[in-house]
Formats: sequence, structure tokens, C-alpha cells
Amino acid sequence: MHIHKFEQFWIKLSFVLIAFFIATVVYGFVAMDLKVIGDHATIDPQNLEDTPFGNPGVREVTRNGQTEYEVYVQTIQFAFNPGTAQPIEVPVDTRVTFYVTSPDVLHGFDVAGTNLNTMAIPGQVAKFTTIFPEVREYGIVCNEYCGPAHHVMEGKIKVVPKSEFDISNLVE
Amino acid sequence: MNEEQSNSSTKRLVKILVIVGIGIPVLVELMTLFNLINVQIFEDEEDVNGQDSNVADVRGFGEGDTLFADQETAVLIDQLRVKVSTQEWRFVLGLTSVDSISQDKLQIQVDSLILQSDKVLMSNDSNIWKFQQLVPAQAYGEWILPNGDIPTKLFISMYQGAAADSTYQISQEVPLEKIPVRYNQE
Amino acid sequence: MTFLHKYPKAAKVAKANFIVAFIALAIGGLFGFVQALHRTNVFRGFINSGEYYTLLTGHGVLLALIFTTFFIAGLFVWGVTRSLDREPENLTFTWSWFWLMTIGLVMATVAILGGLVPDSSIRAAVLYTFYPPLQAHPMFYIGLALVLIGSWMAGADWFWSYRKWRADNPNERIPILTFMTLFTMLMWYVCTIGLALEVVGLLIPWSLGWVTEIEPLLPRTLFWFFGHAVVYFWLLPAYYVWYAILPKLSGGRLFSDSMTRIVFVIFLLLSTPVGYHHQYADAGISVGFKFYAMATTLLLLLPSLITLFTVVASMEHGARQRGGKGYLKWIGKLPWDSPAFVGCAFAGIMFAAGGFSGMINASMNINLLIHNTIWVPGHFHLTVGTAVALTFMAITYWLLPQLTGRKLKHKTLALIQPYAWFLGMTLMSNAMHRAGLAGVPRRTAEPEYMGFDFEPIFGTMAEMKWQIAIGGTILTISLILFLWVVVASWLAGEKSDKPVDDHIPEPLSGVEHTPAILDNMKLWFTLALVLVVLAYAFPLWEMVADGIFSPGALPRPS
Repeated sequence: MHIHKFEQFWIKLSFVLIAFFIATVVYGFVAMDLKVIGDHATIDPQNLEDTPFGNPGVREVTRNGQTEYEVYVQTIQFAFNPGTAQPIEVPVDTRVTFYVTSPDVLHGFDVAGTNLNTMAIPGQVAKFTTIFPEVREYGIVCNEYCGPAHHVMEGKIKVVPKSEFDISNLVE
Repeated sequence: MNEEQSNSSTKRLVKILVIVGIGIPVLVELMTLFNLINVQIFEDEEDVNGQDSNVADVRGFGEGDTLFADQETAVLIDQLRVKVSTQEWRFVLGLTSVDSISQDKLQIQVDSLILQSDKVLMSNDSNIWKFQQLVPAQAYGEWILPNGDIPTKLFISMYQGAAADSTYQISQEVPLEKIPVRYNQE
Repeated sequence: MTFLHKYPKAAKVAKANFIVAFIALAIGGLFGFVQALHRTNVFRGFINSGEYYTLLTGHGVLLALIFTTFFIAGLFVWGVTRSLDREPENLTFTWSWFWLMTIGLVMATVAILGGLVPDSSIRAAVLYTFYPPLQAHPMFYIGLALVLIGSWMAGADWFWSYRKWRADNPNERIPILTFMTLFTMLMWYVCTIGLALEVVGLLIPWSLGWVTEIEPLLPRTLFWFFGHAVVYFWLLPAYYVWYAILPKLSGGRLFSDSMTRIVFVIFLLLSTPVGYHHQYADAGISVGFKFYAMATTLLLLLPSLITLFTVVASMEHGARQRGGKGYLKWIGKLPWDSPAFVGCAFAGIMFAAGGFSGMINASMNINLLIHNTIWVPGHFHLTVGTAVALTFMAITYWLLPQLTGRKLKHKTLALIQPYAWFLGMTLMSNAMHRAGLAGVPRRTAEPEYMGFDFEPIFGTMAEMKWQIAIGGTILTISLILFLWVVVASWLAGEKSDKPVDDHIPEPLSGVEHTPAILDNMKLWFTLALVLVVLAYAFPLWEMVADGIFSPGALPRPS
């Protein structure tokens, strides 16, 4: 087969580029702890009552001697519960693990402008952990079409200083 | 001759097309590139200002709030919701009177609804837009909305007094907070 | 003598496919215009926000599924017939796949447009990805299934021609136009396994009420089994044009026959096992399989980069034939006054830009920043919306005269059209990408929220909205120009024996340098299946092991 020498050079260059892209992603994974959602657990979307999602909200847990928080969120047509009626309140600089699932149709859970972004799929539990670095409010957007009022589905996360974090809002 | 003319006019057209059709896109992309680099290098930590001003401070009414709070005949909003199905968008409003007063003399009427699209739904005496006789101390009304629209403000009037001449009327403007929108599972 | 006179039967088939394609393009494009104004709140008087999703479904289905499929069918009929020098083997068979696809398309369209009729129970506002548990009318799914079956028959038709030709020409290499057609269709057979399983196996029985529950992740995964390869099903015919015809339009010859074949082989192998890159944000698929899909996706950069080289090299050769000199000065010698060339060239440039945003999409963890934001439609309006659509429009200026025996009319308007498209698309797509970085979601009627504002990295939201609306308007004008030129030329173009120069010269590095193994379709098809099994067998098994419809969710009308 005849491959022009410029073309050979170009193909080599292409492989370098591809390797660079893959390395970037791996670097993000390993060095910056930028992970994607994986296979956590399945759940019966028609019976969330008997699971932690039956009582959605923020919980305090202790892991390795550290106080952390877990947030169970149900996405429903057309609201985040919690998130829409009242903001999800979490303290700054603390590990927060989200568990998101949907009892009805597909939704998205996207903290606007950040990389906290997951699908909420009936039957699947999405789990991801983060640390909010600054005190501020974030908007949550449903970014998967979920029905005629999809565009009104929004919520809020309120990151507060540790001293102002109100534990009376926690759920058991 | 003719051929030449059309040739030169085509050339001129191509020149204009290249300037507009390629020049503007290149300009737009260069500006984007410049701004991206600019932000990355010179404004790495933007101050957290202006972020608090994202919501207007006028707090709207929601479920659990009281209407005519300064009157002796205050009423509570116990239901405020938009129910959505594939066919229609329906606004639901439920009111409860707070105190037991001489209820037989009280009428409450929603005069109009202002919608997000700035459309106005007017009230009309003969339809369900009227809350009459809060005898069991509760009233409930539904309105079919234009598909996709949501009320942002209500005008509500309260009438007191049985006889027409002694009617005592108060109107209140009720800006609404974000109304819960839910799927209507009927 | 042009195509029409040599192969009147095939010309009729190709023209029929083009008519359907252009009607779909007109309606889908109109919907796109309404959406661009509605979403940006420039004008919301055409429809209400509930109906927006019906239009959005129509836009996606009519353009991404119908316009493309029918145009590709017409293009392949032209190429196979011409390069094998045979009319279709059996016209009854040929017309039956055409009519099957058309009936299917009408069913799906009626189901979608039913959503605009008040109180209609025939609805399909499920978007072109139709994720359950949102449920459309059964007619929608059945229509799609018919289009799919029709497309399989079309592929069979071309293989039939090829086998007959092979019997007469046992020692010839597969002509390049037919080679590209057959490999595209092989890829189509591999990837549509997923769609067929989803639509016929799950969604039709479910929409008819034979089963009540459905597991949302399984059909979603099967959709993306098909859903990324389908973009190559759109793209490869554009490559087909760039490889086979664009060099000629720029005055030169294809640079390398063997590279062309290698590229199509790689696409056959790697197009399907990449589907999880649409599911990076999904729970229920392990990170390892997502990683495998990412590596495969990024490897697919290779054939596209080779294409870039070959196409640019062919164009440079053409420009030098036309007297071009220097390192870059030759670019000025390209035929910038030929609508067909300009459209293809712009499509290629936009594809390079779209490729770069595609690399962000493909990079797993970086993707999460823009997943399901308006960045994504910004990306695919560059790829399918320009690289594919603009190529198809441009090559129509060259093909239509061959199919109708009439010269192109309104050449000035035809020349303005691709420039306008390039301008409009740059404006629209640039703003969509930037808005996506701020988190503005895709697929929404009103991207305005009461509780918070988006914070763009630079610029303002208002400025981006206007840029999208203006870009969309320019695109609509460009589309109208295209349709006007097509209709006018078709009905009133000057009749001619040779309405266009349709000669395609031989490649610079010809087929005699191409290894024979590249033409071994059985080998590559088997390998493609093996790669798909590696990617999909285990995750799919995990999903169905607990019951095909479990964990089950109840349907919701759309």
C-alpha cells in the first residue's frame, strides 16, 4: 500500500493527539478526583416509600470520624424533592454525597454551571460526592425533557457557613 | 462582452460573500477565543458579587400565607398549585377562613389573574371564579390556563355586608411566589 | 448523456427519495425557526410552551431521521447504479422499500403533529430519542419501525446489485462509490440491531398495552447502541461526497483510494461500541464500560483526521491544477463561485469545529460540565446540521441536474445559500456552546428560571439569545433559498443532454495500490460484531438478568 510521507506523519500526529486526550481524562480521574457516575444500585421506582427516598432530605452521617452529609433527592414531574419547595441546605467545605432517583420518568439533575450533573433514571440510584468550596447559592436545572412542564422544573442548593448550618432541617 | 460582464459581477458577489460570510464568522470566533483566554488569565477568581441580587426581593404569596392579614376576616391560602397533564394546564386555588366570623356576609372573588406571558384572565360573575359564602370556611376554585402558562399575580376582592348599599369592599394585589407545578395524575 | 438518460429507472427512484427528503427538510426547518424564536423569547406567538415539545420532536424526527435517511437512499441509488453500471435489479422490490419507508414516515409524522390538535389522544411529544416511560401513541413507534425495515430492504437492494455485478466481474475491485455504500450499510445493519430490539421488542408491545411496565435504562441503552452509530450513518454519506465528488468539484482528483477504504473500514468497526458516551451521566453502567466507550470514541478521531488530510490534499491538488501556487495562496484558486464546492468546503470546515467540541463531549469527566446543556445541540448543529445537511444541499446542486436532465436555475441565489448557512450557523452555534458552558439546558421551551440566573463566563445571556435568534433566522433564509433553487430548477430548469459536468476522474493513488483485504466484507463485519459484543454483552446482560421489564416504571403520556 502506498501512503504518502506527509500522510504518514499526519497519522502519527493523530495518534499522539488521541493519546493526549485520553491522558487528560485519566489525569482528571486520578489527580483531580473528577469521577463519573457508575453502577451503584437499582431500586423499585414504584415503591420508594420504604427506602431512604421515602423521606428525602439531608442526613448527617459519620464516616471515618468525620461528619459528612447525605442528600436523598427524588425528582418528580416537575420538581426536585427536596430542592424546589425548599432549597437543599448544606455546609461549606464538607463532604456531601447525593443520591438521586426518579419515581416517574427520566429527569436531569444539573447544578448549573458546575460539573455536578447526573441523569435521574427510574429504577437506578445515581450517587456522587462533592465538596462545595464556597458559600453561595446554586440553581438546579432539570436538563432532561420530562413532560409538558419540563421548563419550570428547577431547584436550589444553598451552601452556608458551617456555623450557620441549621441541623434542625435534617431528616432522620 | 456579456459573458465578461457577468463574470466580473460574479467576482464582485463572491468578494462580498467572502467578506460577510467568512469574515463575520472568523471575527465572532476570534472574539470568543480572546474572551476565553482573557477570563482564564486575568480574572481567575471573580468576586462573588452580584450573585445575591439574582432574585427580586418582593416575596410572593404561597401556600400557608394569609390574605387580608390586616382585616378581621383574614383568609389562608391552603392550596396553590398548577396541575399539568398532556391536555391542559389547570390552576388550583384553595382558601380557608382563619377566624369564625359572621361568615354569611363574606364574599371573596378573584377578579383577575396575571399570567407569566402578561396575559390577563378576567373574572366574570357567572363562572367559578367567585368564592361565595365561606360557610364551611373553605373555598376552592380551578382555572384552565393557556397551555404552558402560569399565574404570577392575582387580584382578589373581599366584599362584606349583606345589603348592597352597605357593601364594604377591599381589594388586594397578590403577587405569587413560584407556584408548585405538578403532574396531574387523574 | 447524463444519469437520467442512461438510467431512467434509477433516476426516478432517486428523485422520489429526494422529494420526500426535501419536504421533510422544509417542515423540519420551519419548526427549527419557530423554536429558535420561542426559546430565546424573541417571539412566542406561534405556539405555546406546551406545544414546543411537539415541534421539537418534529424537528428532530423529520430532520435527523427522515431527511437524512431519504436523502441518503437517493444518493446511494445514484452511486450504486452509476458505479456498477446497472439499473436496480427488481423495480417492484425497489419501490416497495421506498413506499414502506414513506408510509412509516407518514405514520410517525401524523402521531407527532397530532400533538398540535387540542384534546387529541394521538400524541408523540417524546423527542427523537423517545425515552420511556414517556409514552407516545403506538403509531409513532410502528411508523419508525417501518422506516427502519424499509432502510434494511434498501441496503439489501444495493447488495443485490453488487452480487449480480460481482458475478459478471469476478476479478474487479469494488468500485469506490459502491464500496462506501456497502460499508455504510454494513454499519447500519450492526447498529440498528439495537433500535430494532428497542422499538419492536420493547416499545411497540408496551405502547399497545401488552405489557404495562418498562425498565427505563434498558431501552435507553439500546437506543444509544444505535444512537451514536446513526450519526455516522448520516456522516459517512457526507464523507462519500467529500471523497468521491468534492475533489472533482475543486478541479482535481481523489488523493488516495486506499485511505478512503481504510477510513470506511474503521467506521464500520468502531461506530457502534461507543454508545455509552451518551450515557456518561447515567447510573447503572459501570465506569469501566464507559471508559472502553471513551477510548473507542477517541480512536474514531483517527478516520476523521485522515479524512481531513485526504480531503484537503485533494482540494489542494485541484487548486494547483487550476494554477494555484504557494503554501496557502492556492486556497484563493479554489472555485469559490461554485455553490456545490462552497457548500461542501464550508461543511468540512464546520465539521472540524464540531469535531473539537465533540472531543469535549467524548471526554467522560469533562463532559459532565456540558452534558445535556445547549452546548450539545450547538455541537450537533455543526456536525449533522452543517457537515451533513449542508453537504447534502450543496451536492444537490450537482446531482439534481443529472437526475432531472435540467440545468440549475438561479445560480446567484444558490451561491449565496452556503455562505448564508455558514454565517447563520456560526452565530447560532457559537452562542449555544457558550450558553451551554453556563449550564443552560437543551430541550426546553423557556430556559429562564425564577430562583436563579445563569452566570456566563463572559458576555451576557441576553446577547447570546439574540445571537441564537439571528443565527436561526439567517439559517431559515438560507434554507428558503435552497428550496427555491431546487423547486425552480426541477420544474423550469433548461433541459439539456449534459446539464452538468458529471465526470469523476480516477484517484491519484488508485485502487491498484489498495490491499485486497480491505474489500473483505465478511471479515470486517464479523470483527465489528465482536467489538459490539465486547462492549455490550455484559452490561445488557446485567440489565435483563433481573427481568426484562424490571425494575419497572409505569408509562406516562407525553
